[in-house]
Amino acid sequence: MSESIKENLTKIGITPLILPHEKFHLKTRTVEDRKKIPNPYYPKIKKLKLITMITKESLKAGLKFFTKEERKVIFSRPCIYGVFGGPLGGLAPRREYCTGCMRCVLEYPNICTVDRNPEFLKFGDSYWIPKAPSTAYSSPMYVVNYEAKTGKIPIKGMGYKGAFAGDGWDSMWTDMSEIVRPTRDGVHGREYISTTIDLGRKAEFSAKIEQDIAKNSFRIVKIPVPIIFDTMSPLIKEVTVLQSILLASMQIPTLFIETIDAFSKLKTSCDRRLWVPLLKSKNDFEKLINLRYTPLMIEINPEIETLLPEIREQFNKSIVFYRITKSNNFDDIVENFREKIIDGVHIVSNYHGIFSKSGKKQFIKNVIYDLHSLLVNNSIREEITIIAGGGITMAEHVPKAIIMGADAISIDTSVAVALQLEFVGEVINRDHDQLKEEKIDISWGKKRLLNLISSWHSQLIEILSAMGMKDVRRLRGDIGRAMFHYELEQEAFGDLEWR
Amino acid sequence: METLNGVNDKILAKKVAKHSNNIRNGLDVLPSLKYGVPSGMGNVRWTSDLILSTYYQAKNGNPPNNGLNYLTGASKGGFDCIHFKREKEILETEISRTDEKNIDLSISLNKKKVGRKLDIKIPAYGGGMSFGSVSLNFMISRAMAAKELGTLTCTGEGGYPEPLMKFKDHIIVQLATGMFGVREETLQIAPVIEFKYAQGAKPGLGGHLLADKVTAAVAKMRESTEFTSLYSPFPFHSVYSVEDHKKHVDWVKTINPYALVSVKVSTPRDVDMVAIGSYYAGAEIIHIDGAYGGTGAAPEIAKKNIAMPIEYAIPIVHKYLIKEGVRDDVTLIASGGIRTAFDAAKAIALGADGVVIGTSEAVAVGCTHCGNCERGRGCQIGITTTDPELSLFIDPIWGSKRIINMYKSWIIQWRKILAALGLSSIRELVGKNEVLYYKKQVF
Repeated sequence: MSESIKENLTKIGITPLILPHEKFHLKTRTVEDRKKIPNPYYPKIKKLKLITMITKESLKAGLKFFTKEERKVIFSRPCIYGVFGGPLGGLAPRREYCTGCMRCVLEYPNICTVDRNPEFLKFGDSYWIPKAPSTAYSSPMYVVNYEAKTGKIPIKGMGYKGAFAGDGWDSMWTDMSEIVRPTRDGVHGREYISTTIDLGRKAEFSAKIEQDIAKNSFRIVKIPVPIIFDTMSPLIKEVTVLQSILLASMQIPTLFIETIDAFSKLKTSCDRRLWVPLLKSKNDFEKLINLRYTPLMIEINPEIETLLPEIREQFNKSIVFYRITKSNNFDDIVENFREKIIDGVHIVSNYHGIFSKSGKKQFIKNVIYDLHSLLVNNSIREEITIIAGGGITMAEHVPKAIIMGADAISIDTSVAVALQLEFVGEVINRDHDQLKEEKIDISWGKKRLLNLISSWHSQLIEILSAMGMKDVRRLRGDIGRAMFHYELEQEAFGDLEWR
Repeated sequence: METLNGVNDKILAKKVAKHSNNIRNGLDVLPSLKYGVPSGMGNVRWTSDLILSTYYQAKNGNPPNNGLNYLTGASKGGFDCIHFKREKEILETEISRTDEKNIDLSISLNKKKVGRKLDIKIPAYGGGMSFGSVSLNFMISRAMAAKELGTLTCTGEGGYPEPLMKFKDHIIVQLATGMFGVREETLQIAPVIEFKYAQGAKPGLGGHLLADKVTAAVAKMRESTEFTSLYSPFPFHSVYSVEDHKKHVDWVKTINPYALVSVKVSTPRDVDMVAIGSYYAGAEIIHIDGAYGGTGAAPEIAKKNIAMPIEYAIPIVHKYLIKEGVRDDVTLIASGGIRTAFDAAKAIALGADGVVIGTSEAVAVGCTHCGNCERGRGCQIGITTTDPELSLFIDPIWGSKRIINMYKSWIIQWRKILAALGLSSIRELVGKNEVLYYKKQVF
């Protein structure tokens, strides 16, 4: 039955990765860390003073010291998280348990201090661990690692602790609705909030769908979450890592962009269907032909733009995306679309979200909106897909990117963090920056990535439900669902004196 | 001590006495900076200076004079970038006994021409913190302080523990979407009934009380099951329009015709429309709770990203209510990230009538803003916990004194502000934003 539905949909140009009536759900379970992330806090104890204090207390107790009860009181320890819970208590503190609660400092300010752990600061680069991590547990590194470990939504007590606003993603807030339709129930499964999106060329507004099908210009791949895995080359060469990504993409299911060279190293028994070949040269194109395989989607670098008609002809069943890493303007995209050469655009910034447009560095958020607006103004936004990648490292960036105009996002360094791959310096540049090459257990890696995607999916649903939305597709480009720092600042403080 | 909360264990009582004394000594010593500023303490919103200066005020009842910055945090936005033009004069102003008598800090919670009149002596009251999210002893501390200060505090959504009954004239009963612990009997004795539509820290997401904190006592109060996570739904499933909301208001007014109705909402883009709708539905108090407000537990994604900070919402709502011609008939209360007396005064100058305080009261009794409230045993100081042992750390009398002292210090600061600005009532400060300036900072 399911297969016949799939077949029928495929006949009309729609390839659903899950069936329309299937509810998206990933089974998650805790997958322990492969290596311990350094604890953000580092308690220090003045041991001599500690011994002196205990001695004084013992002497003060006098003969009572020899009662078990009194000793229990004297040796009772101030930490409820177990930092002093080892056999030697404060003389050998178990620093990994410290949560920065400061109770030991409150009780014994002359003996205890709790510092920021410099090792934690070194664990990621400046985009992942901001230099002033006053919110260690909210730093992207910690959060993404937690998500990959548990598959859960990070929940913490107390209010927000970070900067009031910021550049990039932190310059906007998403909206909510006080009185919404019962979409909140979607979180608990009573109503379904769809996160399925369509990649590819949709039927033109004025065209009959049948005509489009006949002309082979109506091609859609439906994916259940608006998240795909971007290529990790040359950042990651390790086969076990790539294999984990591929297995995770199969189970989700979603797409996985990778170069032909990197993909060819993977086990051939793997289902290649979800692999999106990234073509960087004519040679890649020829290799793909030789593979005698029709991918659902192909992504091409602008360097081989001239080959587009040929690729289109050769792979007329695949959707073709144009990968843009920098641009002078986006006019050629409109032109290529009109010529029915490309079905979508994958706009990719560096790993810190910076995109070079007309020589100016812009944050990816603004670039997405520029491109989205251009397509709207050219009346082709409904037909073409935008995928955005680079600098999208946390769950909150997904709805924000979609609000700015992306249909889907691609993730890159988040995968590396989920798999606990260590950064070598700042990882910004896609061409030469590095991660430490490490072999990982493929099954472990797959589960960590499933946890990550499940957590992000749950958080996307939280955001959608707060707005009363039942379909992520409705969020695309709906900037009325966002509030921007600059605008609110003007609106609220416009009549104050600015100095 | 041995019998408090039913704990009879002698060793436990001794341990609690030892550690609570240590904590209290620490709270007194740390603000003196004898041991310097603890390096791991605080964050950019609640800086170590703000935390230590609140400890100082809670002990001494006046602002610190040892260089601790008790005016602003370091978040580079909002209240931290808004300043009084005459800040220097404010800080130098001396308040005489005559000034104390002549400067009125009271606000009216019912500005309508009909209904019960209810004034509170200071422009602040305690925010909802439920039994379950915080310890009973902390709730009692807050209630005792509210009574002493002539203001109110709020039950939050977790029921009305019996020990609070003797403070009933100072207890707002919260009625939220989960209806946990809501009873007609307690609604009938409330001076104010607060509908919680949403909370600033988790707008549109309802409430969370994680399983570990749902002890037998909490479960009993909430009529639920022990150690099972409790989620308040969002929204009220009987309210999908302003008309539905009016039915709700009518319902509670039937149960308790003397109670004022407060509507607590978060701060979406259309917060101004929500405010006006709530007013026309019959609410006396519109309570807007900004995005950076406190919580016992909330998804990190919600705290930072959903809805606008209160600094933006206040002027937007205030101006809109003026435009609609109803500003003089409704009390606008702001909360969510108001940490200090100066924050409160700035909120009032931006357009609020008064403010609601939660986290600062917790800091007054020793909160370090570490954010472990949601954890199993909860708070290491005994504030946001239901653990029978940890709860004992807050002695209600001691706790209430600290909260009262903090507000005494705030009262001094509010009077200084008003005196320096030539105002005789906090009500004159409402919306007087010409006394402020904004200093934009680069992120």
